[in-house]
Amino acid sequence: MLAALLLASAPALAWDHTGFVWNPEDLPRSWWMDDYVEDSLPEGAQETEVIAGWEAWHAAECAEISEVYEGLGDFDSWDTSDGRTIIYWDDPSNEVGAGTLAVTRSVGSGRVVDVNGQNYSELADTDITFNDNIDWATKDQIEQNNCNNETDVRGVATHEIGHSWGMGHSCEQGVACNDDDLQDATMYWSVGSCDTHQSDINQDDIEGITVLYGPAATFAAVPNSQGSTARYGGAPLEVCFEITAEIPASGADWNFGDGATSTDLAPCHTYTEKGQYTVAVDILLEDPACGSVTFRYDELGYVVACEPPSFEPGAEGFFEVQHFDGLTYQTVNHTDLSVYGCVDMVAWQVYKGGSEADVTEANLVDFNGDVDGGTELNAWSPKITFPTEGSYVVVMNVGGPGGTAANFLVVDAVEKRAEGSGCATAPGALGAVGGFALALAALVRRRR
Amino acid sequence: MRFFAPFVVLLGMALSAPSEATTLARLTPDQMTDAADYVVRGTVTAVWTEQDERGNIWSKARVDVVESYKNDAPEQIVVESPGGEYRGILAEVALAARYDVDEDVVLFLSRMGAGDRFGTVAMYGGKYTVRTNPADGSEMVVHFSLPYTREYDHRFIPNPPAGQRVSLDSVVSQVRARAALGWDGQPIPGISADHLRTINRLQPGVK
Repeated sequence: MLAALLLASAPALAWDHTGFVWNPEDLPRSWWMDDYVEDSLPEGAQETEVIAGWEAWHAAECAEISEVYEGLGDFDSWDTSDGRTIIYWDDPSNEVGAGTLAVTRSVGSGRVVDVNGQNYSELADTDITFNDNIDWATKDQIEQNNCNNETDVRGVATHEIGHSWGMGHSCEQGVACNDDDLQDATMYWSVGSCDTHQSDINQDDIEGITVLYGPAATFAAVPNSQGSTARYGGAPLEVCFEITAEIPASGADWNFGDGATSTDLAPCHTYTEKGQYTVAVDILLEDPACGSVTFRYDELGYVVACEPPSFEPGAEGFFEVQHFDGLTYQTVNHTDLSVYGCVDMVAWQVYKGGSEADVTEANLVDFNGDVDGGTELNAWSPKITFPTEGSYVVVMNVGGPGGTAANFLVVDAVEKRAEGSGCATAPGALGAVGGFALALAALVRRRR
Repeated sequence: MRFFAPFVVLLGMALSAPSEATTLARLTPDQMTDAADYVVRGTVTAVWTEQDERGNIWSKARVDVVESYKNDAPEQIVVESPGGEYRGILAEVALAARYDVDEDVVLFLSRMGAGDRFGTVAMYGGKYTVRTNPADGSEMVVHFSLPYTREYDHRFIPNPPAGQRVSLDSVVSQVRARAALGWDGQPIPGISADHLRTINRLQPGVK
């Protein structure tokens, strides 16, 4: 079950950057390796496998990257202030942690490097630490069918070295990532034992590193017909795009993420439906050194278009109220949360009375919720404790960039003991409930 | 490049901006339980960031433990995630677990070093948010992670589609069953056999 959840919630798309990049003037960069002996590997393999990891990135022929191995040394622990790229194999405080194979730490100089029109932080130092509680094996050992749950050290080295160049993960967390091509990338965020696929970079990795160190282009939102560059907001949302590059783009093929496409170099597109949209563009460049280069540039979740709050399909309203225990009732919030960012406010109030007409400040009730009580609760689905038996109007306001909605239910509160598991529905209490949409514009919109 | 522009702005202000990135192992549900010193349910009561003596930034959350599902945890625990923002310096860490005050969580806690520092097993993979399933009012668990460049508010994290929702009860029963059964002696990436012996019952035949 847990594994299924991990997969379901794990990432989705192509290459990414950490926001850091080496200044071309600082290349080739030097690197060292700690002389700690990792006893799960054959003698000498620590060096040869990590060197192979560095060399793997040179498959990106148009990326101008270079490095020099300075040899083994006796280094202490992570020190991202010495300006040296060091590979560590010892983690005495177990800070890398269970389930994590290796960590790359990077520090910027504070200066900014312009990469194809976008600002990146200039790298000053990166260190890589391998987890010393892993059974490591070489790529050859694994591919010769000698694997017994070991992890490919070259693959993890290639991945972490990618981070040290400024590469992020190929699939961002929080979105499904079930595309085999993307999971095959070296920069995919996880790897199983006996799996050597991360040893060699794939096309997705090549495109990502080429954007950082080669002839490439990016895009950005530019003012739309209303002069706005907003990428998050209520639908319809018009977003205009522009390609920036040192070499002028000679062609473009856009996919706006909602099914619409364009071949304009600077298109505008209007998003009419709620959603988080990834914008992708294939950009054609004619580079004097590399020749004709086409690569895809993706921006995951670049546009978030929101509509007024709605409730989940199948639900009968925005919320319901179930008896919990005594005079405490459990609210069940049905508001649709499928797009993160489209709901950013929730507020509950309780009024004495039995109809919409009773929703006045004079009838506002001081009730005890499961947070801090008072006349308003900002929890998503709180418990509400009514002060006495009787009829109440429970109001829920929700809102976000697409608008707000206010809804109410009338609850006949009856004090009684919990039924069954303690979260039973109270048909008697809810028998007289009515659910109506309200336009409670006068209610104060207040965030926690 | 996701939500990249604000990140760059922050970096531009930073004198020395660190970043971390990781590779995660793929753990089975039983391995997640075995690798955890404690599996608990609790409520987040405070969140803050600190910078250690080596310049590394850590995001921390104080959790009042409501129930322990594996081993008896202290009543209060501080759980750490690498990265975060500290005095204008942003350290972005992909896959870090995020926390928010009042958040109801289930944590697979992993001890760091010999003291009382705890992280989560497999970073965000070892943290769930507990919330009410709008379909039936029951308690379900949700995984969600977000870059430090975006504001995290547990109240508004997306619900999984109806067919993919996982009940709290199913996770708890699975953890309890594994904890009662014990470790099978098989290695788990990132944790020593000695430590696994210390924090787990041992299945018959396992030494």
